[in-house]
Amino acid sequence: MIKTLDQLFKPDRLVTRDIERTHFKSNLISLYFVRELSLREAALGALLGRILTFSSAEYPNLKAISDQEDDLYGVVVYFDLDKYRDQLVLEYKMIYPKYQLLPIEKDLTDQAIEFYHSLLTRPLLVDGLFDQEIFQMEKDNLMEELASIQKDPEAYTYRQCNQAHFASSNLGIYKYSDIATVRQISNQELVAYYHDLFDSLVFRYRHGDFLHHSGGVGLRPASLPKLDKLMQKTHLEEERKLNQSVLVQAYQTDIEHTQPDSQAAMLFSAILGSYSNSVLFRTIREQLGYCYSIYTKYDKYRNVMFISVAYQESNHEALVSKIDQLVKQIQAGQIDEDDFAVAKLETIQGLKSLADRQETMLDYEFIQDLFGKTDSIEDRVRQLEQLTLTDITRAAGSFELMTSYHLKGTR
Amino acid sequence: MKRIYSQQLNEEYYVQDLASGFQVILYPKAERYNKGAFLSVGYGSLDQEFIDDNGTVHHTPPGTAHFLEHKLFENSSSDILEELGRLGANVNAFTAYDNTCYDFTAPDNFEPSLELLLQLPFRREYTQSGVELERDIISREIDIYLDSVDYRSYRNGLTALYPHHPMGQDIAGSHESIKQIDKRTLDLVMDNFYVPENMFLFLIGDFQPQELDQIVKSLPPFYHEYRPKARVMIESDPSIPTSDSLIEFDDTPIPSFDYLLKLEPLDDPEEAFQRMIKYNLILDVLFGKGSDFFQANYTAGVLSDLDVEYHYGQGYCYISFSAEGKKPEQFKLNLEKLLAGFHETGVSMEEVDRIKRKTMGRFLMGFNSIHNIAQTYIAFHYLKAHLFDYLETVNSIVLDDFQNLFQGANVFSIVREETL
Repeated sequence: MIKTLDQLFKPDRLVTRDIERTHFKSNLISLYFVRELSLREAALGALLGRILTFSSAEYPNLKAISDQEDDLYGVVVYFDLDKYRDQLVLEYKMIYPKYQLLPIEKDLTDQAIEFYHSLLTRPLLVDGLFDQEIFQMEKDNLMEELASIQKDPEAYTYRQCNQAHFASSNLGIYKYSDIATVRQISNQELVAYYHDLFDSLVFRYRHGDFLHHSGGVGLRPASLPKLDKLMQKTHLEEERKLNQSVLVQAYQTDIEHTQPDSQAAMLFSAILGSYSNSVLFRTIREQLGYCYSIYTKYDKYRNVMFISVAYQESNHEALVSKIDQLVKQIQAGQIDEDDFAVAKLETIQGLKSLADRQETMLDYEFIQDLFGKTDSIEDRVRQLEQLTLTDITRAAGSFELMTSYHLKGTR
Repeated sequence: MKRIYSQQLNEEYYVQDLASGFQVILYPKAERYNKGAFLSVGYGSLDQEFIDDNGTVHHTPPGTAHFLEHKLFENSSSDILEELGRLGANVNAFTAYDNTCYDFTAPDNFEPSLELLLQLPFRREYTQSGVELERDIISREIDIYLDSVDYRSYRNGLTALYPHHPMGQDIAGSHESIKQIDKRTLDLVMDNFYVPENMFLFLIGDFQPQELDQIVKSLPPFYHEYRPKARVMIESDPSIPTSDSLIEFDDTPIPSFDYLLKLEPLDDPEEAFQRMIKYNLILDVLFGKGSDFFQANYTAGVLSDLDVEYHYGQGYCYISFSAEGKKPEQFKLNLEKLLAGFHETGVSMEEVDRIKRKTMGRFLMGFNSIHNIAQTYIAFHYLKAHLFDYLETVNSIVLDDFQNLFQGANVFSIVREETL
């Protein structure tokens, strides 16, 4: 069955990898379609994923699809999108139980893969177009979902800061695009996009009861340009009737993910705010009581670190000043040995833990291949262990606050 | 040491009971990097009124269990959270309605991390000044919930449905209730609930069964000493909401709404667990993504998302229908119509068997994750159910009586823009 799936794609544009892990109760299969990131691509990808998992020629409605998932003992089939630098990745995954572990007579693996295959390859088309009612309904629902982000103040502020920080490029685009772009998509355009998808660079990976195998590794997307450095600082403010304010700050760095300092930059982010007892958490939350949560998020592929916090507006000035002070202390080399050791250990443990989940392991392997990396988790652990405080200080010094988005709570 | 084995799942765990009433469960899960330790205490947000061993009745403010969960890590020299962090452990804690759990996972340094975790119930080094500061932090946490439209819709409904039961209050309490919590409150609940008889330790990861003996022997003396636990007083609340419709206006692009239906709680745990499974099967047939109801309302633009859940515990039982969409009133009409006619239509066994198949596969796949296994074990423990009996119970359920399943007081809560 898997050969039938592989034959859908151009051999010189297909990367395959099977990861043998027999101690899970399920198998996972994933297709990653690599596209160039743009508002239009994101809108088309998001809408297509919804339509293909709502209906197909054999399973013409949601009930038929859901019934088949249930009959196959709870298989889960889904589309999602992700962004890596200037690449948009459509992920089409299926997780299915190992049928030999169930008290049933028949192994349903082939049926499961056929179901996965059919949703992708045999969409419900009427006169060469997607069923117009379904197309319009899913378009409306996607726009509704995009509007709903406003309901989550932290997610909303993060998205706004992202867009403002990368205003001059496509890197700040939300993975499901925006309402205006979705609104403009026509049925014809979506069908053309669907057909074009099969010519994409495709990574087909499996995790579970499979013998180790890899093919086509080394293929990579054409576009991974060096990122321009922002020259202008941007600070935006918006008022909303909320109990709390939210602040998201974006710090840019010129450290590229290919440079060894990228690991040191990741540790800087960890020391500052991405583990459970980081400098920001301990000072802003535990000592000052300004917030419930504060954290950093470092994106090595976009050369940016975000700090996100929700707090009472009356503490705004003091909070901003304290964050600035703590960042500068680390940049000046004032790093507690303990913080350094803990951040290093937590980062290493996080890496080791990837293998405990099928999805995270498969995604890790995919990203490695996408960016042409060959270092294993063990290699990464060794690199992290060798980092010194000097490395961290040097990496920290390259970060500069460029963009902030302040959602001011007025309730 | 008792071995519990499931041939069907090919999974096993081991249980050791101590004379103090404390229990240690060891669940070997080979080839996992992480090992996990979950210290569970049978004290949750609902346990606000209780009688201690001397017969004295105590009333504690809503939010006490959650407050204590926050404060238990405080230590005079350094926070236990920090100490666990230094060992590379990924630490977490959560408060539920009927229990509080402190846990960590770690690929390395498991023994010293466990040693620290086990000190939590008896170190008690929180201070009054620490309690004051924590109040600010928890207030910020409550603000996060209050800024969530989905949360407010659900919470407004639940408060109206249970005005005389602690379910009517949030797990974290309110800005007002947490002002009443001080160090003495925390000491009181520690004395009465953080006792070996009311706790158990669940360990999972790449262990050998024989390690259980050594772990039990190395437990601090605290866990071997019997201490009485308090008796919780929770009465059921049969009241009917004064209004069956609640509307709150807010600046939200899409309305959030919740229809909550109150059912009579059952006293017998086995009966209550079986009833939960029965309802879950029926609710999945009626309202799951593959249901006629969902598809009809989704395609008609009434809703874009629907989550239906059955909830039960001491003195409460209800079904929540939580949705998001443009036509809340239409949703209510359609839902009530279906529920009113259900005793005649019922569900077909073909549909139920399909849901049983799904349940079987999903339950099996749940055994991939050590967190999922631990959380399911803990949840089942407080429902007095057994992890490995679940599938058998699901398969044994026969649905032949559809009378009076959806009769009860209800409330419909909406948060939406005023202009709609």
